[in-house]
Amino acid sequence: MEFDGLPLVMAWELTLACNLRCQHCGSAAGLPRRDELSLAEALDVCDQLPALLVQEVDFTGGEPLVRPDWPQIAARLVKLGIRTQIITNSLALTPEVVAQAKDVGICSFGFSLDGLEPTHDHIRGYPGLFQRVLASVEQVQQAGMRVAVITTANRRNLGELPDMLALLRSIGVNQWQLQPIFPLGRAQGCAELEMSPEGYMRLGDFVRTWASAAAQAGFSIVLADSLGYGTEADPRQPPWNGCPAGLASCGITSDGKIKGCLSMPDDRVEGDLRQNDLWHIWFHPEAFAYNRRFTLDDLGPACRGCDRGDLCKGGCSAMSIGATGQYHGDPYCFYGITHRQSWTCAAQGALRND
Amino acid sequence: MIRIDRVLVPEWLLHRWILVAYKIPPLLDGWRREIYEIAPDEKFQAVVDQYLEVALAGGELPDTIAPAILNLANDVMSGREVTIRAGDYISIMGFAKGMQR
Repeated sequence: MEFDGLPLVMAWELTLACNLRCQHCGSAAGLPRRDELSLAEALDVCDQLPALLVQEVDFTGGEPLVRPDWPQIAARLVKLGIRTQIITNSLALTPEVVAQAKDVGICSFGFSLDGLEPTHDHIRGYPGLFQRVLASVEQVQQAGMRVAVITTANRRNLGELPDMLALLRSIGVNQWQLQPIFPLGRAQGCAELEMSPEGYMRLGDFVRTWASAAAQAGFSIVLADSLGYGTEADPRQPPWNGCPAGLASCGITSDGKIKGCLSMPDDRVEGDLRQNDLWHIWFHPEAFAYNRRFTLDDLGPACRGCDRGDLCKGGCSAMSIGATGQYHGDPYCFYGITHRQSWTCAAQGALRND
Repeated sequence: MIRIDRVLVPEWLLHRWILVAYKIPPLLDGWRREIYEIAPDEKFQAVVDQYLEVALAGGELPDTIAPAILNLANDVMSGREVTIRAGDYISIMGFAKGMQR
């Protein structure tokens, strides 16, 4: 059967320019890309999305709000019936910008918050930023837009997660996404933040301990694509069933390249919107082959032999590439961390029996 | 002329979509549904109009879109509300865009 997937959710890196230089930034954002899409080109991209049934676009970066024409792009998407959200570090989010976002029809904001005050400001390299985020959350809530908080779990903030949960609940946030630090961009080799396998297990323990109770209180702890994979630490139903990149989602870089996921390195590009339209890139017979043509033989070394390989397909592609250079082999999967030893023993036993 | 404005998304895709969570946590309420509306597209509609008529008259259809058009014709002949399946939509739109799959 022909491939019948569609990119219902898209992440759009409006610019790689950023007003911060965060320690853990997987995109190593700061300066804009050399030849970012013009407003006319960006609006043309918007017009291509309805044919592919795109339902949701998340603006990201860099810092999307430092691109001055973001409201025009957002307005076009909203006019086309596409739910549009902004992920921001809040530094450029003045009351005027909040009002502008409301006017153009932004429905949600995602705020990055990576720890309690000293930790967040240290990781982000900007004293006072934590308090600005809290103020921005309040402004956006008062304007009637939805708020989610996104935390990149790392060595430094792991122990703060319970206090963060209490803080977020106290300020009326009810959606909290947790994602582990990816060994990509500036995070690569950042010893201060990188997590050990034991750190990942602590993260899993935190979710296992708190997610159900929080849900009963109307608070969602949402795991990013790179956590859980059908273990008891993953409350999702149906269970996470593999990387959605190129199947249900994709990302646009600020210079018009298409990737399965913006977290992937820049050499994992599937096409260029300056050369082809999105329809042709998405449906190219060779596009996103790593996910569209996955077989168990593609599992990387960290996952080969796993009895759940057909469920998670080796986990998060970006994490797998960042950690191993290959797809389908996320070494930080909770199940893998606890069971890998036994697979290795079983495989060695099988070899001896052969 | 049959106006096609509803697409039935395959279940496997819905299960993927609600788990796309690497950016903002998805809002699930009211968004997890199987049928999506599509905006009118002249090229797409022109292909449907042209070949649906051919199909209903028993004529020959291009191979790449024949199954999709016949599914539509079947809906029309049966008097059912026309909801195109995603795979059929992709075939016809790809044909309209001049893309061979």
